[in-house]
Amino acid sequence: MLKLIQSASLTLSDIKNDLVLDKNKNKSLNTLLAVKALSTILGEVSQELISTFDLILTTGEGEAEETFKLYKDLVKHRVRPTLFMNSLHNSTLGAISLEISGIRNGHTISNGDLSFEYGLEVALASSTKLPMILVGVDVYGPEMLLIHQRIVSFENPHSGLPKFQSGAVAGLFLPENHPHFTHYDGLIIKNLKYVKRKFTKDDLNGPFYSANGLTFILQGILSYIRPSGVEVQIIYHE
Amino acid sequence: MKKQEQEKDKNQRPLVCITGMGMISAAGQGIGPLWNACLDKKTVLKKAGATQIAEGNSLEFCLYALQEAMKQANWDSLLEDDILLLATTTGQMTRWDLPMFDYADKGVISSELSHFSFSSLSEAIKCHFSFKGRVILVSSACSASTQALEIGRKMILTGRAKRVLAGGVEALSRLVIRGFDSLKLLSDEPCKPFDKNRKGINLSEGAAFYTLENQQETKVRPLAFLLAGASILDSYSMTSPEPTGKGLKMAIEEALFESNLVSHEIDFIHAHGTGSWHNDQAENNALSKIFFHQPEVISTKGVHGHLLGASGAIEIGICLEIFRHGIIPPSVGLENKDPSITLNLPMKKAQKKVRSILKTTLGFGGVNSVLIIGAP
Repeated sequence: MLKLIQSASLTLSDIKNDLVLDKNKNKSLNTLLAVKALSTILGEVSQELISTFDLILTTGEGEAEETFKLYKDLVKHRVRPTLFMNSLHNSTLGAISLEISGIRNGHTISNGDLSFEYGLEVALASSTKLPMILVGVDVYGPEMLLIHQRIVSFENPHSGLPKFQSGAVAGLFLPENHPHFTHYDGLIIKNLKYVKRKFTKDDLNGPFYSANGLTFILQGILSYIRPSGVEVQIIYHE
Repeated sequence: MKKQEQEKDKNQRPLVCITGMGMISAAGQGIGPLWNACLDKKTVLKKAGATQIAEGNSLEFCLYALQEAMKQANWDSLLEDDILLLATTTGQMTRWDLPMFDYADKGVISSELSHFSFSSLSEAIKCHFSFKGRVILVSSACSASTQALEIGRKMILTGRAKRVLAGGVEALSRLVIRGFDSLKLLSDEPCKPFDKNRKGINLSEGAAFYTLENQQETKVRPLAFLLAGASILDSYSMTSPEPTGKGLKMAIEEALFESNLVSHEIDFIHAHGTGSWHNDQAENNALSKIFFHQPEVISTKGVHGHLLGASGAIEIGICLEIFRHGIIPPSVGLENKDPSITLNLPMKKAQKKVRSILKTTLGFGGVNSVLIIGAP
């Protein structure tokens, strides 16, 4: 069981002031969003304490935007090493670990619009007593927006399109055997189940990105449908 | 060995065992040709810098390796409750290579590129096996498949799955080769881990997958036991491990604690050994601070190259052969040991009964991951 004790949900507008800073010019939008979301939930937590936290980064498409930029470089017969580093699916995790120093353990977990849920499953399987941070982040530039709309409309030809929006979520969870588990209020998640069913027009419920599963959990929703046609059922502790 | 005598770990949980293995590499299909090349100290890398398998892509590599692993474990099909943990850093990138170049050149998103997604590989695998269960992609760079096996172990221990297929795949796209070239990491000759004349790494491709089961429930003889695993971020650099090996050392200590073994019970270490100076220094520093009894340490990347996210999985296959044959292959590519390296690096193959092996991987972004596996 995991108890959600702190959370944040951001969109691109939340990092507009960060984008203009010189120190951020070589950082991807994924990194800026994820770091901002993390900083929001960690607040004044000391580095000593952060060094006992495990991080699971979840993302549907990782740094796909940087990959598109890299191919544009390649046709001009050049490759910028920084752009290559930023294009790796795991680079957001590495960049976070450099920005928020001391995070103990890190995984990058993915699979389309179930990325956050599968990250949560990995967290539930963890046998440590340590706090767990889950971050979900996805950025859609013009190319990925178009591609995602095509994929979703191909899978759900009659349902209408969900609105895609770049964003990040972050949640700080305590495992059941953590000494402070009972000291905090929060939703307690026991398990997840998945049921295949069709995504319909009635399921078009607001902006969406691949790894935004936490936004439903924050509302205490028992089940929600993803555009890939999988209904996620969250089993909470009463 | 005390693990098998107990049949349970230190928390009184049943042991998780590997019951099937499937593999394809630049050496060919299955572990046989790769193992022979390791024993013969012979590289299978056909091209300096990066070696691609003549035919095939990441989906075909996966399907071959998955089917072979399932066959060995006597699994007829995948069940809905099974979990597939698939480690990769690039997924089906080779499928998108040409359409991406076309897009970058002409600005048109072709119908092929309209399917571009990191999850397309898992969807194709699910479709092939008519699998309705969970496919979890692990993309933590070169540590990805080591982490996939450890996550699989925990999924079984915590009862979240009864059976797990875990491993990794990598296929080389032009983007990846050019990208590594831009970092000036590629060697123009077969790599020489821990050698004073090392020039860098060789990229390669392939896949390796393993069936994982609870020892008390499996119907086949285990190939090995997954005793423990751990990962630590070293928060130092995107491309280089922390030079003192601090993160790797912490990961090893955590895995030793989890396995209930002490350092001198590790009989052999299969290192990440990429052939880069930074990797060699970090591994040397971490290993030499823990293993004072000087167990043999080898890298086999001089044989098969660096399979990025799949490297841990491929090299676990070599470890299973070491258990089976009681032979430690030489550290391939090593001719003149770097004088700053203090590890026990065998130059020739040697017979040894090995009971516990440590496997290390170090990935981009400072991800240090290790596994400890035990003999059946």
